[in-house]
Amino acid sequence: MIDCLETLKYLDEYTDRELTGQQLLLVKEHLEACPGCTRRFNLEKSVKEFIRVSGSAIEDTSYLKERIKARLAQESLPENQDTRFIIRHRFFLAIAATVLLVFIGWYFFSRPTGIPDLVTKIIEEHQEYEGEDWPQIASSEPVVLQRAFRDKLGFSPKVEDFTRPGYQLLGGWTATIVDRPAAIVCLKITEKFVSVTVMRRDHYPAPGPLITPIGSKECFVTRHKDYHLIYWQDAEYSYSVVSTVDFGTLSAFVASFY
Amino acid sequence: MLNKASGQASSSEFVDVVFEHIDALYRSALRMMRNKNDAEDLVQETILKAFRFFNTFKPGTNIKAWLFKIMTNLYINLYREKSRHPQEVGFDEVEEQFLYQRLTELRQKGQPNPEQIFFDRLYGDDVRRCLDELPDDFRTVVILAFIEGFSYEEIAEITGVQLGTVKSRLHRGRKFLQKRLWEYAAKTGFIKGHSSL
Repeated sequence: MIDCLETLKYLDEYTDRELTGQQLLLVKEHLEACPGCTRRFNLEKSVKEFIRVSGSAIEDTSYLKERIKARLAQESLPENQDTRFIIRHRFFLAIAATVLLVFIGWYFFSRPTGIPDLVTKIIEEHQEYEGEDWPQIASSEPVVLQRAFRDKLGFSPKVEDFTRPGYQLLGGWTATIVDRPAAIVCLKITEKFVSVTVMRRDHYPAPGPLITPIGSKECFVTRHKDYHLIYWQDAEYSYSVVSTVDFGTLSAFVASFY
Repeated sequence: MLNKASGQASSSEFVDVVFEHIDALYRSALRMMRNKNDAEDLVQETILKAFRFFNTFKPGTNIKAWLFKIMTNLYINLYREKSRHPQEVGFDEVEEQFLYQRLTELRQKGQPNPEQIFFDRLYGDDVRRCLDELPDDFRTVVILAFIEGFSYEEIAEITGVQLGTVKSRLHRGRKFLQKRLWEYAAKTGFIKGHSSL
Protein backbone atom coordinates (compact mmCIF):
# COMPACT_ATOMS: atom_id res chain seq x y z
CA MET A 1 0.00 0.00 0.00
CA ILE A 2 1.38 3.44 -0.89
CA ASP A 3 0.51 6.69 0.89
CA CYS A 4 -0.92 9.96 -0.46
CA LEU A 5 2.46 11.56 -1.01
CA GLU A 6 3.69 8.60 -3.04
CA THR A 7 0.41 8.39 -4.96
CA LEU A 8 0.50 12.05 -5.96
CA LYS A 9 3.84 11.49 -7.69
CA TYR A 10 1.88 9.48 -10.23
CA LEU A 11 -0.91 12.00 -10.67
CA ASP A 12 0.18 13.14 -14.16
CA GLU A 13 1.03 9.71 -15.45
CA TYR A 14 -2.19 8.23 -14.18
CA THR A 15 -4.23 11.02 -15.76
CA ASP A 16 -2.39 10.57 -19.05
CA ARG A 17 -2.87 6.80 -18.92
CA GLU A 18 0.85 6.16 -18.93
CA LEU A 19 0.89 3.91 -15.87
CA THR A 20 0.96 0.16 -16.27
CA GLY A 21 1.45 -2.97 -14.22
CA GLN A 22 2.35 -2.80 -10.59
CA GLN A 23 2.37 0.99 -10.35
CA LEU A 24 -1.11 1.24 -11.80
CA LEU A 25 -2.38 -1.35 -9.34
CA LEU A 26 -0.83 0.46 -6.38
CA VAL A 27 -2.36 3.79 -7.40
CA LYS A 28 -5.77 2.23 -7.98
CA GLU A 29 -5.61 0.50 -4.63
CA HIS A 30 -4.81 3.77 -2.88
CA LEU A 31 -7.55 5.66 -4.72
CA GLU A 32 -10.16 3.16 -3.70
CA ALA A 33 -9.35 3.84 -0.06
CA CYS A 34 -8.72 7.59 -0.21
CA PRO A 35 -11.51 10.08 -1.01
CA GLY A 36 -9.08 13.05 -0.90
CA CYS A 37 -6.82 11.65 -3.59
CA THR A 38 -9.82 10.48 -5.59
CA ARG A 39 -11.03 14.04 -5.64
CA ARG A 40 -7.59 15.30 -6.71
CA PHE A 41 -7.39 12.73 -9.49
CA ASN A 42 -10.93 13.43 -10.69
CA LEU A 43 -10.20 17.14 -10.83
CA GLU A 44 -7.07 16.48 -12.87
CA LYS A 45 -9.01 14.30 -15.33
CA SER A 46 -11.76 16.88 -15.64
CA VAL A 47 -9.36 19.76 -16.28
CA LYS A 48 -7.61 17.75 -18.98
CA GLU A 49 -10.90 16.81 -20.57
CA PHE A 50 -12.10 20.40 -20.41
CA ILE A 51 -8.96 21.63 -22.16
CA ARG A 52 -9.28 18.92 -24.79
CA VAL A 53 -12.89 19.75 -25.56
CA SER A 54 -12.34 23.52 -25.68
CA GLY A 55 -9.03 23.31 -27.49
CA SER A 56 -10.37 21.12 -30.25
CA ALA A 57 -13.32 23.24 -31.26
CA ILE A 58 -14.36 22.17 -34.73
CA GLU A 59 -13.00 24.39 -37.47
CA ASP A 60 -14.05 24.40 -41.08
CA THR A 61 -11.08 23.19 -43.09
CA SER A 62 -12.80 22.64 -46.44
CA TYR A 63 -11.28 25.78 -47.92
CA LEU A 64 -7.83 24.84 -46.66
CA LYS A 65 -8.14 21.35 -48.11
CA GLU A 66 -9.07 22.74 -51.52
CA ARG A 67 -6.18 25.14 -51.37
CA ILE A 68 -3.74 22.36 -50.53
CA LYS A 69 -5.13 20.10 -53.25
CA ALA A 70 -4.62 22.85 -55.80
CA ARG A 71 -1.10 23.36 -54.57
CA LEU A 72 -0.36 19.64 -54.71
CA ALA A 73 -1.51 19.53 -58.32
CA GLN A 74 1.27 21.97 -59.16
CA GLU A 75 3.88 19.69 -57.67
CA SER A 76 5.55 17.95 -60.58
CA LEU A 77 4.52 14.33 -60.69
CA PRO A 78 6.42 11.58 -62.41
CA GLU A 79 4.47 9.90 -65.18
CA ASN A 80 1.48 8.26 -63.68
CA GLN A 81 2.15 4.55 -63.61
CA ASP A 82 -1.13 3.80 -61.90
CA THR A 83 -3.05 4.66 -65.04
CA ARG A 84 -0.94 2.31 -67.15
CA PHE A 85 -1.53 -0.46 -64.65
CA ILE A 86 -5.28 0.03 -64.90
CA ILE A 87 -5.28 -0.07 -68.68
CA ARG A 88 -3.14 -3.19 -68.83
CA HIS A 89 -5.36 -5.10 -66.42
CA ARG A 90 -8.72 -3.64 -67.36
CA PHE A 91 -10.55 -6.93 -67.94
CA PHE A 92 -9.43 -8.45 -64.71
CA LEU A 93 -10.27 -5.27 -62.82
CA ALA A 94 -13.76 -5.12 -64.35
CA ILE A 95 -14.47 -8.67 -63.17
CA ALA A 96 -13.15 -7.93 -59.70
CA ALA A 97 -15.29 -4.80 -59.45
CA THR A 98 -18.43 -6.71 -60.49
CA VAL A 99 -17.84 -9.42 -57.91
CA LEU A 100 -17.28 -6.76 -55.26
CA LEU A 101 -20.49 -4.94 -56.16
CA VAL A 102 -22.52 -8.14 -55.97
CA PHE A 103 -21.07 -8.81 -52.54
CA ILE A 104 -21.84 -5.34 -51.27
CA GLY A 105 -25.40 -5.58 -52.57
CA TRP A 106 -25.88 -8.97 -51.02
CA TYR A 107 -24.55 -7.72 -47.70
CA PHE A 108 -26.90 -4.78 -47.55
CA PHE A 109 -30.01 -6.63 -48.63
CA SER A 110 -29.53 -9.58 -46.36
CA ARG A 111 -28.67 -7.48 -43.32
CA PRO A 112 -31.41 -7.44 -40.71
CA THR A 113 -32.50 -3.89 -40.16
CA GLY A 114 -34.93 -2.10 -37.94
CA ILE A 115 -35.42 -1.45 -34.30
CA PRO A 116 -34.51 -4.74 -32.59
CA ASP A 117 -31.11 -4.27 -34.22
CA LEU A 118 -30.73 -1.07 -32.22
CA VAL A 119 -31.40 -2.87 -28.94
CA THR A 120 -28.63 -5.37 -29.68
CA LYS A 121 -26.28 -2.63 -30.81
CA ILE A 122 -26.86 -0.62 -27.65
CA ILE A 123 -26.17 -3.65 -25.47
CA GLU A 124 -23.06 -4.44 -27.53
CA GLU A 125 -21.83 -0.88 -27.09
CA HIS A 126 -22.36 -1.24 -23.34
CA GLN A 127 -20.48 -4.55 -23.24
CA GLU A 128 -17.59 -3.15 -25.18
CA TYR A 129 -16.88 -0.53 -22.55
CA GLU A 130 -17.85 -2.57 -19.54
CA GLY A 131 -15.03 -2.96 -17.09
CA GLU A 132 -13.23 0.03 -18.53
CA ASP A 133 -12.80 2.50 -15.75
CA TRP A 134 -11.79 4.99 -18.32
CA PRO A 135 -14.38 5.91 -20.88
CA GLN A 136 -13.56 8.12 -23.88
CA ILE A 137 -14.63 11.24 -22.02
CA ALA A 138 -13.23 10.65 -18.57
CA SER A 139 -14.76 13.17 -16.26
CA SER A 140 -16.99 12.96 -13.26
CA GLU A 141 -18.12 16.54 -13.78
CA PRO A 142 -21.53 16.64 -15.46
CA VAL A 143 -20.74 20.03 -17.02
CA VAL A 144 -17.63 18.77 -18.75
CA LEU A 145 -19.45 15.75 -20.15
CA GLN A 146 -22.31 17.88 -21.33
CA ARG A 147 -20.01 20.21 -23.24
CA ALA A 148 -18.19 17.32 -24.83
CA PHE A 149 -21.50 15.87 -26.01
CA ARG A 150 -22.65 19.19 -27.38
CA ASP A 151 -19.38 19.65 -29.27
CA LYS A 152 -19.35 16.19 -30.73
CA LEU A 153 -23.02 15.49 -31.35
CA GLY A 154 -24.76 18.83 -31.49
CA PHE A 155 -27.11 17.78 -28.75
CA SER A 156 -26.64 17.16 -25.11
CA PRO A 157 -28.91 15.71 -22.47
CA LYS A 158 -28.75 17.16 -18.98
CA VAL A 159 -26.09 14.95 -17.48
CA GLU A 160 -26.73 16.21 -13.99
CA ASP A 161 -30.06 14.39 -14.03
CA PHE A 162 -28.13 11.13 -14.20
CA THR A 163 -26.22 11.64 -10.98
CA ARG A 164 -27.63 10.34 -7.74
CA PRO A 165 -26.34 9.09 -4.41
CA GLY A 166 -24.63 5.71 -4.55
CA TYR A 167 -23.83 6.05 -8.22
CA GLN A 168 -20.36 7.01 -9.30
CA LEU A 169 -20.19 9.01 -12.52
CA LEU A 170 -17.30 7.58 -14.53
CA GLY A 171 -17.76 9.66 -17.65
CA GLY A 172 -19.22 8.96 -21.01
CA TRP A 173 -18.60 8.34 -24.65
CA THR A 174 -20.16 9.08 -27.98
CA ALA A 175 -21.04 6.46 -30.51
CA THR A 176 -22.78 5.97 -33.78
CA ILE A 177 -25.40 3.31 -33.34
CA VAL A 178 -26.89 2.12 -36.63
CA ASP A 179 -25.83 5.41 -38.22
CA ARG A 180 -27.41 7.55 -35.52
CA PRO A 181 -25.45 9.65 -33.03
CA ALA A 182 -25.71 8.63 -29.39
CA ALA A 183 -24.48 10.08 -26.12
CA ILE A 184 -23.66 7.45 -23.55
CA VAL A 185 -23.26 8.22 -19.87
CA CYS A 186 -21.42 5.68 -17.78
CA LEU A 187 -22.03 5.10 -14.07
CA LYS A 188 -21.02 2.53 -11.53
CA ILE A 189 -22.95 1.10 -8.62
CA THR A 190 -21.81 -1.75 -6.36
CA GLU A 191 -18.98 -2.63 -8.76
CA LYS A 192 -21.37 -2.91 -11.71
CA PHE A 193 -21.70 -0.67 -14.70
CA VAL A 194 -24.79 1.19 -15.73
CA SER A 195 -24.89 2.97 -19.05
CA VAL A 196 -27.52 5.37 -20.25
CA THR A 197 -27.68 5.77 -24.01
CA VAL A 198 -29.38 8.94 -25.11
CA MET A 199 -30.43 9.49 -28.71
CA ARG A 200 -32.72 11.94 -30.40
CA ARG A 201 -36.21 10.59 -30.05
CA ASP A 202 -36.95 10.67 -33.78
CA HIS A 203 -33.74 8.68 -34.32
CA TYR A 204 -34.83 5.90 -32.07
CA PRO A 205 -38.55 5.26 -31.74
CA ALA A 206 -39.70 2.73 -29.18
CA PRO A 207 -38.32 -0.76 -29.91
CA GLY A 208 -41.50 -2.29 -28.50
CA PRO A 209 -44.74 -1.37 -26.76
CA LEU A 210 -44.25 1.08 -23.87
CA ILE A 211 -46.43 -0.81 -21.42
CA THR A 212 -44.31 -1.25 -18.31
CA PRO A 213 -44.87 1.55 -15.80
CA ILE A 214 -41.71 2.51 -13.90
CA GLY A 215 -42.04 5.58 -11.70
CA SER A 216 -44.21 7.91 -13.71
CA LYS A 217 -42.90 6.66 -17.02
CA GLU A 218 -44.13 4.13 -19.53
CA CYS A 219 -41.22 1.90 -20.43
CA PHE A 220 -40.21 -0.93 -22.66
CA VAL A 221 -38.26 -3.61 -20.85
CA THR A 222 -36.21 -6.36 -22.35
CA ARG A 223 -33.47 -8.76 -21.40
CA HIS A 224 -30.52 -10.15 -23.26
CA LYS A 225 -28.51 -12.78 -21.39
CA ASP A 226 -27.40 -11.03 -18.17
CA TYR A 227 -28.31 -7.58 -19.38
CA HIS A 228 -31.46 -5.67 -18.60
CA LEU A 229 -32.46 -2.89 -20.89
CA ILE A 230 -35.09 -0.32 -19.95
CA TYR A 231 -36.20 2.08 -22.63
CA TRP A 232 -38.32 5.20 -22.33
CA GLN A 233 -38.62 8.54 -24.02
CA ASP A 234 -39.52 12.13 -23.36
CA ALA A 235 -40.42 14.88 -25.79
CA GLU A 236 -36.87 15.24 -27.06
CA TYR A 237 -34.84 12.13 -26.32
CA SER A 238 -34.99 8.40 -26.04
CA TYR A 239 -33.18 6.74 -23.15
CA SER A 240 -31.91 3.19 -22.90
CA VAL A 241 -30.48 2.07 -19.60
CA VAL A 242 -28.37 -1.08 -19.71
CA SER A 243 -26.81 -2.98 -16.85
CA THR A 244 -26.27 -6.32 -15.21
CA VAL A 245 -27.43 -5.06 -11.81
CA ASP A 246 -30.65 -6.63 -10.59
CA PHE A 247 -33.85 -5.41 -12.14
CA GLY A 248 -35.09 -3.88 -8.87
CA THR A 249 -32.08 -1.59 -8.57
CA LEU A 250 -32.20 -0.65 -12.22
CA SER A 251 -35.88 0.20 -12.22
CA ALA A 252 -35.43 2.26 -9.05
CA PHE A 253 -32.74 4.16 -10.92
CA VAL A 254 -35.08 4.75 -13.83
CA ALA A 255 -37.99 5.66 -11.55
CA SER A 256 -35.95 8.40 -9.87
CA PHE A 257 -35.37 10.32 -13.10
CA TYR A 258 -36.55 13.96 -13.05
CA MET B 1 1.00 1.09 -51.52
CA LEU B 2 3.94 3.11 -52.66
CA ASN B 3 4.90 3.18 -56.24
CA LYS B 4 8.34 1.70 -55.90
CA ALA B 5 9.39 2.36 -59.48
CA SER B 6 9.25 6.10 -59.10
CA GLY B 7 9.81 6.17 -55.35
CA GLN B 8 6.83 8.39 -55.01
CA ALA B 9 3.21 7.91 -54.20
CA SER B 10 0.47 8.86 -56.58
CA SER B 11 -1.27 12.05 -55.68
CA SER B 12 -4.69 10.53 -55.05
CA GLU B 13 -3.27 7.84 -52.80
CA PHE B 14 -1.44 10.46 -50.81
CA VAL B 15 -4.60 12.52 -50.47
CA ASP B 16 -6.51 9.46 -49.25
CA VAL B 17 -4.08 8.67 -46.46
CA VAL B 18 -3.12 12.13 -45.36
CA PHE B 19 -6.12 14.40 -45.77
CA GLU B 20 -8.13 12.86 -42.97
CA HIS B 21 -5.53 14.25 -40.57
CA ILE B 22 -5.79 17.83 -41.78
CA ASP B 23 -8.47 18.69 -39.25
CA ALA B 24 -6.24 17.54 -36.39
CA LEU B 25 -3.17 19.25 -37.84
CA TYR B 26 -5.08 22.46 -38.30
CA ARG B 27 -6.58 22.62 -34.82
CA SER B 28 -3.14 22.07 -33.32
CA ALA B 29 -1.53 24.52 -35.72
CA LEU B 30 -4.09 27.07 -34.66
CA ARG B 31 -3.04 26.67 -31.04
CA MET B 32 0.64 26.73 -31.94
CA MET B 33 0.52 29.75 -34.25
CA ARG B 34 -2.30 31.57 -32.45
CA ASN B 35 -3.84 32.88 -35.66
CA LYS B 36 -5.65 31.41 -38.63
CA ASN B 37 -3.49 32.64 -41.50
CA ASP B 38 -0.25 31.37 -40.03
CA ALA B 39 -1.93 28.11 -39.03
CA GLU B 40 -3.15 27.54 -42.60
CA ASP B 41 0.33 28.22 -43.95
CA LEU B 42 1.88 25.85 -41.46
CA VAL B 43 -0.51 23.05 -42.37
CA GLN B 44 0.02 23.63 -46.09
CA GLU B 45 3.80 23.55 -45.68
CA THR B 46 3.46 20.38 -43.63
CA ILE B 47 1.40 18.61 -46.26
CA LEU B 48 3.69 19.66 -49.10
CA LYS B 49 6.71 18.45 -47.21
CA ALA B 50 4.94 15.20 -46.38
CA PHE B 51 4.15 14.76 -50.07
CA ARG B 52 7.76 15.24 -51.09
CA PHE B 53 8.97 12.81 -48.47
CA PHE B 54 6.11 10.34 -48.60
CA ASN B 55 8.48 7.64 -49.83
CA THR B 56 10.26 7.80 -46.45
CA PHE B 57 7.09 7.00 -44.58
CA LYS B 58 6.99 3.39 -43.47
CA PRO B 59 3.55 1.94 -44.18
CA GLY B 60 2.02 0.42 -41.07
CA THR B 61 3.58 2.96 -38.72
CA ASN B 62 1.63 5.82 -37.20
CA ILE B 63 0.99 8.33 -39.95
CA LYS B 64 -0.56 10.89 -37.64
CA ALA B 65 2.59 10.96 -35.50
CA TRP B 66 4.69 11.20 -38.67
CA LEU B 67 2.72 14.23 -39.89
CA PHE B 68 2.90 15.89 -36.49
CA LYS B 69 6.62 15.36 -36.42
CA ILE B 70 6.94 17.18 -39.73
CA MET B 71 4.69 19.97 -38.54
CA THR B 72 6.44 20.37 -35.19
CA ASN B 73 9.83 20.51 -36.90
CA LEU B 74 8.65 23.15 -39.34
CA TYR B 75 7.17 25.11 -36.49
CA ILE B 76 10.36 24.99 -34.45
CA ASN B 77 12.68 25.74 -37.35
CA LEU B 78 10.75 28.24 -39.38
CA TYR B 79 8.05 29.93 -37.45
CA ARG B 80 8.77 30.01 -33.80
CA GLU B 81 9.62 33.41 -32.51
CA LYS B 82 13.15 33.51 -31.31
CA SER B 83 12.36 34.83 -27.91
CA ARG B 84 14.87 37.19 -26.40
CA HIS B 85 14.04 36.41 -22.83
CA PRO B 86 14.32 33.02 -21.24
CA GLN B 87 10.97 31.37 -21.70
CA GLU B 88 10.30 30.24 -18.22
CA VAL B 89 10.15 33.35 -16.11
CA GLY B 90 8.00 32.93 -13.03
CA PHE B 91 6.97 29.53 -14.14
CA ASP B 92 7.85 27.41 -11.19
CA GLU B 93 6.39 29.64 -8.57
CA VAL B 94 3.00 28.05 -8.87
CA GLU B 95 2.46 25.77 -5.92
CA GLU B 96 1.65 22.11 -6.47
CA GLN B 97 -2.04 21.23 -6.57
CA PHE B 98 -2.87 24.90 -6.92
CA LEU B 99 -6.37 24.46 -8.23
CA TYR B 100 -7.21 21.66 -5.86
CA GLN B 101 -6.11 23.79 -2.91
CA ARG B 102 -8.28 26.71 -4.01
CA LEU B 103 -11.34 24.54 -4.55
CA THR B 104 -10.80 22.87 -1.20
CA GLU B 105 -10.69 26.26 0.49
CA LEU B 106 -14.02 27.09 -1.11
CA ARG B 107 -15.49 23.83 0.07
CA GLN B 108 -14.32 24.60 3.58
CA LYS B 109 -16.07 27.95 3.35
CA GLY B 110 -19.32 26.09 2.75
CA GLN B 111 -19.48 25.90 -1.05
CA PRO B 112 -20.89 22.37 -1.60
CA ASN B 113 -19.67 21.75 -5.16
CA PRO B 114 -16.91 24.17 -6.14
CA GLU B 115 -15.70 21.95 -9.03
CA GLN B 116 -18.95 22.24 -10.84
CA ILE B 117 -19.17 25.98 -10.38
CA PHE B 118 -15.58 26.35 -11.49
CA PHE B 119 -16.16 24.56 -14.80
CA ASP B 120 -19.49 26.26 -15.27
CA ARG B 121 -17.94 29.73 -15.20
CA LEU B 122 -15.25 29.00 -17.75
CA TYR B 123 -15.71 29.50 -21.45
CA GLY B 124 -13.92 27.72 -24.27
CA ASP B 125 -12.33 31.05 -25.14
CA ASP B 126 -10.75 31.24 -21.70
CA VAL B 127 -9.13 27.88 -22.25
CA ARG B 128 -7.85 28.88 -25.68
CA ARG B 129 -6.44 32.10 -24.26
CA CYS B 130 -4.70 30.22 -21.44
CA LEU B 131 -3.15 27.85 -23.97
CA ASP B 132 -2.00 30.79 -26.08
CA GLU B 133 -0.25 32.26 -23.05
CA LEU B 134 1.89 29.19 -22.50
CA PRO B 135 5.50 29.50 -23.66
CA ASP B 136 6.14 27.69 -26.98
CA ASP B 137 7.90 24.55 -25.75
CA PHE B 138 5.30 23.91 -23.12
CA ARG B 139 2.41 24.70 -25.37
CA THR B 140 3.54 22.24 -28.01
CA VAL B 141 3.79 19.40 -25.51
CA VAL B 142 0.44 20.24 -23.92
CA ILE B 143 -1.29 20.36 -27.31
CA LEU B 144 0.18 17.03 -28.38
CA ALA B 145 -0.77 15.35 -25.11
CA PHE B 146 -4.09 16.94 -24.24
CA ILE B 147 -5.67 17.70 -27.56
CA GLU B 148 -4.15 15.09 -29.83
CA GLY B 149 -3.83 12.35 -27.22
CA PHE B 150 -0.30 11.28 -28.11
CA SER B 151 1.59 9.17 -25.56
CA TYR B 152 4.72 10.49 -23.81
CA GLU B 153 6.88 8.35 -26.01
CA GLU B 154 5.23 9.57 -29.20
CA ILE B 155 5.64 13.17 -28.04
CA ALA B 156 9.33 12.59 -27.35
CA GLU B 157 9.68 11.21 -30.87
CA ILE B 158 7.68 14.04 -32.45
CA THR B 159 9.42 16.89 -30.67
CA GLY B 160 12.83 15.25 -30.51
CA VAL B 161 13.34 15.76 -26.78
CA GLN B 162 13.96 13.31 -23.95
CA LEU B 163 11.08 11.50 -22.28
CA GLY B 164 11.94 13.16 -18.97
CA THR B 165 11.75 16.58 -20.58
CA VAL B 166 8.33 15.77 -22.01
CA LYS B 167 7.10 14.83 -18.54
CA SER B 168 8.48 17.90 -16.82
CA ARG B 169 7.17 20.28 -19.51
CA LEU B 170 3.78 18.69 -19.31
CA HIS B 171 3.76 18.95 -15.55
CA ARG B 172 4.70 22.59 -15.52
CA GLY B 173 2.28 23.29 -18.37
CA ARG B 174 -0.49 21.76 -16.30
CA LYS B 175 0.33 23.84 -13.25
CA PHE B 176 0.40 27.01 -15.30
CA LEU B 177 -2.91 26.23 -17.02
CA GLN B 178 -4.67 25.39 -13.78
CA LYS B 179 -3.55 28.63 -12.21
CA ARG B 180 -4.59 30.71 -15.21
CA LEU B 181 -7.94 28.94 -15.52
CA TRP B 182 -8.57 29.66 -11.86
CA GLU B 183 -7.78 33.30 -12.45
CA TYR B 184 -10.18 33.46 -15.39
CA ALA B 185 -12.92 31.79 -13.37
CA ALA B 186 -12.22 34.19 -10.50
CA LYS B 187 -12.59 37.12 -12.88
CA THR B 188 -16.13 36.09 -13.70
CA GLY B 189 -16.83 36.50 -10.03
CA PHE B 190 -17.69 33.06 -8.77
CA ILE B 191 -15.20 33.23 -5.98
CA LYS B 192 -16.83 35.94 -3.94
CA GLY B 193 -14.63 37.48 -1.31
CA HIS B 194 -11.71 35.42 -2.44
CA SER B 195 -9.10 38.08 -2.94
CA SER B 196 -5.99 36.08 -2.21
CA LEU B 197 -5.31 35.28 -5.86
